[in-house]
Amino acid sequence: MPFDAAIVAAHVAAIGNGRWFELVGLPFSDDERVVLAALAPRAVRIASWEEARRAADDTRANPAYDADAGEVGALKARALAAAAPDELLRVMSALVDRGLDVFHQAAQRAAARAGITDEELTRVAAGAAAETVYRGALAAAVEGGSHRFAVTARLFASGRWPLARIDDTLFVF
Amino acid sequence: MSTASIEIKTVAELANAPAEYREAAEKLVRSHAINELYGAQVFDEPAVQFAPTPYWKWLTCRVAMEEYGHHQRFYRLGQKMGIPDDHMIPGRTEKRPLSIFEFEMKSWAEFCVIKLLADMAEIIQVEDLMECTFVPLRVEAAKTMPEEKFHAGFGVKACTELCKTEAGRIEVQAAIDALFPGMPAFFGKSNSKNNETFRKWGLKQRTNEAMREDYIERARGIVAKLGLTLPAAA
Repeated sequence: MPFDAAIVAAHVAAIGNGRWFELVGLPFSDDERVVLAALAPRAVRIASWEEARRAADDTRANPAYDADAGEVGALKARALAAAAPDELLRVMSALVDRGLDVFHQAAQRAAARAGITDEELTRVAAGAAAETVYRGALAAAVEGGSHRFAVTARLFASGRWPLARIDDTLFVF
Repeated sequence: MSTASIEIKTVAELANAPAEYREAAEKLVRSHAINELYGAQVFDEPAVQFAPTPYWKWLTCRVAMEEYGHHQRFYRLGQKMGIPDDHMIPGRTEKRPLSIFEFEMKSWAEFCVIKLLADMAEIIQVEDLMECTFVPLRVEAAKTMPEEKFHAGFGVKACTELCKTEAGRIEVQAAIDALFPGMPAFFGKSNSKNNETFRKWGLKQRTNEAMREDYIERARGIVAKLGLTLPAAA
């Protein structure tokens, strides 16, 4: 499958409709359990912003993060085989443009609902959303919507924050 | 030294401003559009790989986005002013980014020091723009300032964390020693003709020398709070 810019454009258009961070801390639904089972053998719910901070700052999450970063590199290489670097940058930058205010404002609202006013933590959340959406759109455009990055991005857009994978456990806020 | 009592309230009014004013305003907007993007590309985006945990990686990712957002602010203003797109994108314009971006960042500690020291330099530049006579540029500068302050605060916090260990303290001092000598050049040449023109029209308030001196004092203070020292400037 070549790089499909129209798929990225659809992800850009969908950013405004996402339920970013609306479900953080809540128990998993049955539908969510099905999605989570596809991503990891075990899923653990993170219940608070304080716990979320600790989970994100756990060095044991680094191997899985690094493996994902390696996969991003491979996906980019495949995209660059089908699209010029300037074109790829232009198409993918639209995600950053669209998400710039949306993700941070959504994180601020969700944190405020929990009584949290922490500009650093909400920026971390916004950065996670941006990275996840970027990876999801790239994976969908190169390999299709069943790639785990695309699944994770949909989970994020539904209101969750997949925080860290440590061994066989995915920690989800 | 401003000799002109002029205030340009809108981009539309700029068309009736003296040619020298228009050209000077364009130079400032181009410079900010180019350097905000280039900084994100050579420092913030690559720093994600160096960050020690997902928490810091996502925070760095967000900072990169905000720097990119600053570029977008100045770029959109430039578009309204009629500056060609290619004149505001590094790599497409012959205007070179600032020399500080030639620093070859190789570690997390170096990135944290870049946030500590380079973003403080940016704050001083933006503070000056917040007084400028071209109101649309003043407005964009004011919008940019809170994020610039957060980024510099990020540098303070991250360096403070690193300095809790002896190995980290040594690494941060080494990064300061490597980065700082090139920082004063960020403010441009002494007796700069461009700066003279900027001040003539109230687009800038201070000389390059005055901003540089202010910067060195502030940098010395913030580094001293970490229990570290500044090397001599280049």
